[in-house]
Amino acid sequence: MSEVKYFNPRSYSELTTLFSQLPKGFQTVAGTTDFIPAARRGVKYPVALLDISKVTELREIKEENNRISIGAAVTMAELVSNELIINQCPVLASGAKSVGSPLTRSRATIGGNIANASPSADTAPVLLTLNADVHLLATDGTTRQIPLAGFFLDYKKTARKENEIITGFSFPPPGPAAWTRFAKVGQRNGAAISVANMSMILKKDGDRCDDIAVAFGAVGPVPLRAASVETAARGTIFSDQFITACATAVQQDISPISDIRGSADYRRHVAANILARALTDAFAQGGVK
Amino acid sequence: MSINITITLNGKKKTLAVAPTQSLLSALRNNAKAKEVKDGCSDGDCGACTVLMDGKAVNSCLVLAPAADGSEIVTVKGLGTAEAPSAVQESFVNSGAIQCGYCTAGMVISATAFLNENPDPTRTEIREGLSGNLCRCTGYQKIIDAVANAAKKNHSQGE
Ligand SMILES: Cc1cc2nc3c(=O)[nH]c(=O)nc-3n(C[C@H](O)[C@H](O)[C@H](O)COP(=O)(O)OP(=O)(O)OC[C@H]3O[C@@H](n4cnc5c(N)ncnc54)[C@H](O)[C@@H]3O)c2cc1C
Ligand code: FES
Ligand code: FES
Repeated sequence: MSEVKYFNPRSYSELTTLFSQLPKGFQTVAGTTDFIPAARRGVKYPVALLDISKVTELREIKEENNRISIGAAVTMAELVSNELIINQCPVLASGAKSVGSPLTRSRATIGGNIANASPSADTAPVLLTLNADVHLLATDGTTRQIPLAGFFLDYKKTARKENEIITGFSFPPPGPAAWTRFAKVGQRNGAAISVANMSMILKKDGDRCDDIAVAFGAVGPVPLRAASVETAARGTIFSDQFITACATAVQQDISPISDIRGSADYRRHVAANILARALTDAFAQGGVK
Repeated sequence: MSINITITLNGKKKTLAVAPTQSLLSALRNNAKAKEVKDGCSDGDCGACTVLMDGKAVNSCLVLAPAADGSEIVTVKGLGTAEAPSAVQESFVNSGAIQCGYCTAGMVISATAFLNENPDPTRTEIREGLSGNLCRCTGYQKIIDAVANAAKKNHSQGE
C-alpha cells in the first residue's frame, strides 16, 4: 500500500509531461467519492494514482462553435451553479443536482461519474440524450473523441483503454425550444442512489412530438437510450394511446435486475411511470417549452 | 513512501507527512491532532467528518490527504471559540440543536457553507443543504431551527 505513487498535475502541460513517468497500471482519480469507498471495500490500490482534479484546463465549461464542452474534473456543484449550463442545458444541472448531498457534489466530478460506469450514474442518461461525445487522451499523447452511446460496453465496462484518461465531454446545446426533464427515483430523498433515472429532451410542434431523445439508468447493465420509445414517439400526436404506446415500448428497451434497491418488476414499473409523467407534463405545459 | 503536504489548518500553516492512500480525515485526526473532526463511517455516508476545504464543505474521509496539499482547511474549531462563537455555533447552542454532539462539528460546518451560499433559505432548502449530515439524536427539527435562526440573525445584523 505504501508503495503507491501519487501525482497531481495542476495544468494540461504538467499532465502530459508526467506521462513518461507514469508506471503501467496507474489509475486516474478525481473527486475520489467512488474510489475511496471502493478501496475500503477491498478493491486493490493501483501502483500509482493520477489525480486530475486540479488540472485547470479540465475544470472548464465553455461554448465553442455551437458546442458546449465540459472538462472531466468539473464537479457536480459547479454544473449546478454554472450560468451556461443553467441557461443552455438545465437538464444537466438537474441531473447533477440529484447526485448525493452537497458534500458529495462539491467533490464528485462528471468524468468520475461516467468513467466509473455505474448503471445508476445520474449524469449518464443526461449526456446520452445530449448526444455527447467523450474526449479521451492516451498516455502516448494521442486523443480521440467517441459518442457516449458507444462508450458503455457492459456492466462497469467501457471503451476507455487502460492508458486513456477522460478529458471531457462535448455536445450541441439542445436549444431553448427543447422541453427537457431529468427524473430520478431513489429509495429515499437526498443522498440516494437511483432505482431508476431518466433524461428526456423533446421538441414538439403543438400536439405533435417532432423529435425526442430519452435515456434511462439503473434499468439495465449500462445507461441506455430508449430506442423503441423514441421510434414510437417521433412524429406522433399526443394522446392517451400515445402515452400507453410509449410506456409499453420502454419495456423492450430496458432489462432491469433485482437488487437491494428494488426488484426488476418494480424498476419496470418506475421506468414506465417516470416516462409517462414526463410526456404528460411536456404536452400539458403548452407553448414552445 | 510518505508525502509532505502543507495545509492551512484554521489559519495556521502545517506540514504533514502523509501516506498516498491516507484520507484527509485520518491526516487531520492522527497527524494534525485535530480531534474535533469526527469519524462516523469513513465512507461518505454520515457527514461527521465534514470540513471546509477551500471554502467548500466536503467529507474529509473521501478526500485523499495528498489531494489537500496547498488547501485551506477549516474545522469547527476554526469557526469560533467558546468565548466568541460564530453565529451558527451560537445558534446551535441556543436552539437546543445538540444532544450527544457527535454530528455537531460536521453539521455546523455544513450549515456554515450552506448559509454562505443561501443567506435566506426556506426550511426545505435547509433540509436539502444538510442532507449529507446524519443525526441519530435530534430528529433534525431543532437543527433546522438553528440554521433558520442563524440566517435571521445574519439578516437583522446585515447591511
Ligand atoms: C454518499 C455518496 C452518494 C452518492 N450519490 C450518488 C448519486 O446520487 N448519483 C450518482 O450518480 N453517483 C453518486 N455517488 C457516486 C459518486 O459520487 C459519483 O459517481 C461521482 O461523480 C464520481 O466522481 P469522482 O470524481 O468522485 O470519481 P473518483 O472516485 O475519483 O473516480 C471514480 C472512477 O472513475 C475513474 N476516473 C475518474 N476520473 C477519471 C478520468 N478523468 N479518466 C479516467 N478515469 C477516471 C477512477 O479511476 C475510478 O475508477 C455517490 C457517492 C457517495 C459517496
Ligand atoms: S466519516 Fe466521513 S462521511 Fe462518515
Ligand atoms: S446530536 Fe447526536 S448524532 Fe446528532
